[in-house]
Amino acid sequence: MKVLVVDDEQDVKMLFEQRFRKEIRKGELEFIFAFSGEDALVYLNQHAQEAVLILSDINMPGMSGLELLERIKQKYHKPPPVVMMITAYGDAQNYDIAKSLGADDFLTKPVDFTLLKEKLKPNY
Amino acid sequence: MGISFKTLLLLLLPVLAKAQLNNIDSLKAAFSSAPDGPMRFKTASNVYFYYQELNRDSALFYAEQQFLTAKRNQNKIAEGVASVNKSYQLMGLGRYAMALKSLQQAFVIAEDEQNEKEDAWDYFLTPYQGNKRLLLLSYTHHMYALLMLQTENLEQQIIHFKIAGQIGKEINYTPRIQLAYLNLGQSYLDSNKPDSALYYEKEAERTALQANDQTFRLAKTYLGTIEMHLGDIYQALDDQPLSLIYYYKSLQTCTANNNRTSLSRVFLRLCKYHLNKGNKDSSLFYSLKNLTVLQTLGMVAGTETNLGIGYENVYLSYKLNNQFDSAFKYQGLALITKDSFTKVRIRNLAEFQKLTYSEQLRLQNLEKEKVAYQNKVRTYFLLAGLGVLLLLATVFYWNNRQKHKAKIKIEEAYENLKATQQQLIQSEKMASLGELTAGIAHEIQNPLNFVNNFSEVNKDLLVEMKEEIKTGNLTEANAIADDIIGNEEKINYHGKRADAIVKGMLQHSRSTKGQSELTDINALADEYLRLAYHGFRAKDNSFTATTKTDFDDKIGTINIIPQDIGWVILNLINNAFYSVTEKKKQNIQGYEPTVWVNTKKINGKVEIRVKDNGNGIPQKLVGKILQPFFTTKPSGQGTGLGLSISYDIIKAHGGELKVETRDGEYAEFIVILQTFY
Repeated sequence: MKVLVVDDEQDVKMLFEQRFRKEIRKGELEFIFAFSGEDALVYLNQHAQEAVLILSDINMPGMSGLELLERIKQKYHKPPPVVMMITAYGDAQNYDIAKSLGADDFLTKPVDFTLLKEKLKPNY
Repeated sequence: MGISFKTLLLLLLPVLAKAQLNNIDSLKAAFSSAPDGPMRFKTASNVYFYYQELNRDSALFYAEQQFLTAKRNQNKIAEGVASVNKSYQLMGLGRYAMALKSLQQAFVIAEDEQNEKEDAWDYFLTPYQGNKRLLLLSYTHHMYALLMLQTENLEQQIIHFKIAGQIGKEINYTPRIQLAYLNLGQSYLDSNKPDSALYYEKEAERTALQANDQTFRLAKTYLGTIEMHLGDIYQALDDQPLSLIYYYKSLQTCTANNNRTSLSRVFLRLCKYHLNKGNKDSSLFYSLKNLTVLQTLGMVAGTETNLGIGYENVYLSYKLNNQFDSAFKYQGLALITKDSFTKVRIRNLAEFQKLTYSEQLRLQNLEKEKVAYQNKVRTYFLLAGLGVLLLLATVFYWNNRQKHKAKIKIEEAYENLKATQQQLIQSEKMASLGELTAGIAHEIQNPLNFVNNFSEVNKDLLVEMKEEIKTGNLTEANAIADDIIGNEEKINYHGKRADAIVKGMLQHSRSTKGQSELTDINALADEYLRLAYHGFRAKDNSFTATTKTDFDDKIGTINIIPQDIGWVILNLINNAFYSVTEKKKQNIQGYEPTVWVNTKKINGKVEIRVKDNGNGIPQKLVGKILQPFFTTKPSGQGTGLGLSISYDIIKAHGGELKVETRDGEYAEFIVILQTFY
């Protein structure tokens, strides 16, 4: 299964690749990284037919994670892909907005990868 | 000289001589046909003057015509003159009360200066161009004195004759002086002061003899009276021959000038003289002459011009001549006439006294009323003054109380405000801390995320590495070790990042500990410029930028907290370096990254300008750049606190932070500081 990770932090790529090194090696998960909301939309447009799980940060320069969520859920993709939002701890406001925009699941920073793996497991 | 010698003096201005020249019928015809107004007044005057010393009833009638004409035409001065003329005739008829009333009316007019304004009709046969009101006033005083003479008030007659003469002098009208002196002579004689009497009478004679063309006839008319008075005075001085000479002179003058009143009195004196001497023929002659004149004068009841006295002297003369039938006849007439005249005179005097008494009462009452009114007014003013003072006092007291209250209120409000301000500062700190907490929650979680996860990954990797070593797969173990080292670098990097965020936060929320001191702002700016440059070079050895400085030597030192302002300058320079570095990445042809740091003293203030030719700030973001945690830098490169803290520091120094920018071209931050704060 392809997972699109959207985060402006470059180090996320390295972190995910190491955290999911076994799953990647086994070919169970494939990670694609986009470092901005804009980049993520470009990728999704180019790979419209692929089933993708999207994992997005909210606080990003340029297009924010919420804006990206809105576009994905309402404008671009039918049926819309599963979108999991990463929110800061205790940021109830963003949580509520994301929920209303159709976010499928949530993670809080710092990301608990054990929890994330459990959430991803049913999908592959 | 006794009271019996007192007589009416005919001391008016009319020129009988002129009247004599005119036929009385033509004068009356002129009056009858004259149109209402000054002509009617003048023609009435002519007839009046004709009768003035000839017949009192006729004279009174024409004086009344003068009066009515003047009143109808509202000519005040003329009305006053007519009133005086009436008064003269009334007192000649013994009607003193009426005479006094007329004079009072005349005084009201003569004493009102407002009446000088009007164009008064000429009321004398000789035109007079001076102050007619004052002339009237003199005339009125003279007439009042005559009334006092008639009613036997010596004191008052002297006073008023003198006033009349004084006014005559002031307006330089000699006939008034002459007539005043003429009467003063008689008054002093009646006061048993023959020397004073002689002085005034001689003055009167001199004035009359010096009369010019205009006053000649008038002077002549009364010259006979003066001469008669001189005769009286010499009589009192026991100079019989001189006395007789003057009586005879008077006889001639009075006859020539048709002054019948005085003529009768001269006849009376000559009659008495001859009676005393026992000259039978002469006394009878003069007594009959006297009686004839008196009979033509009309109703007379004066002290001297008195028909009863006339009859009495005829009776005494016949008696002296031993003609008892005639004597008896005139004795009877004298008794009846004298009795009736005495009754009339008593009645008239009683009436006059009643009037003067009631006048006195009225005046007294008036005075009382005036005093009462003045007291009343004074009381009212006093009360009003007290009221005003009380009001003012109340107002001041109230005002003072209000001020005091207001002062207390203001002080309370000030204390409240100070407390509120402190609370505000506190809550702003708290709010700021709250903001910081939220900001830090956001900002710190990214580096913490990496620190936590990379360290966990490393733990896993180390476990894996041990397994690889156990199996002897050293190549793999080595690869894992490289990953671990890379991760450790990440952990370290993100740990420092978190540290920077926390430090920024502390800096933002800290209370200023530094002391303000006189600082060389140019040296400070230069120092931080070099610090910033080397700091950038240390992070990125490819970094290059041109720095240009322009420091104003005139600034000297300014009072600031150097570490705070230094921090601000450092921040601004760092931002500038960042901006030009970003723009350089765009590989624009010929772009040369440049940062300017300038200082300048303007109007007692110091400007520190930090300018870069980087990408500038988009207009929509200019309003946000001072907000805490706002940054245009990519994640991890800025805390977004630099400008916010800078702004706070500058505000605390009483200064300003301004920005000028053009998107894509430049950004210039301007710090304006007061020399002292």
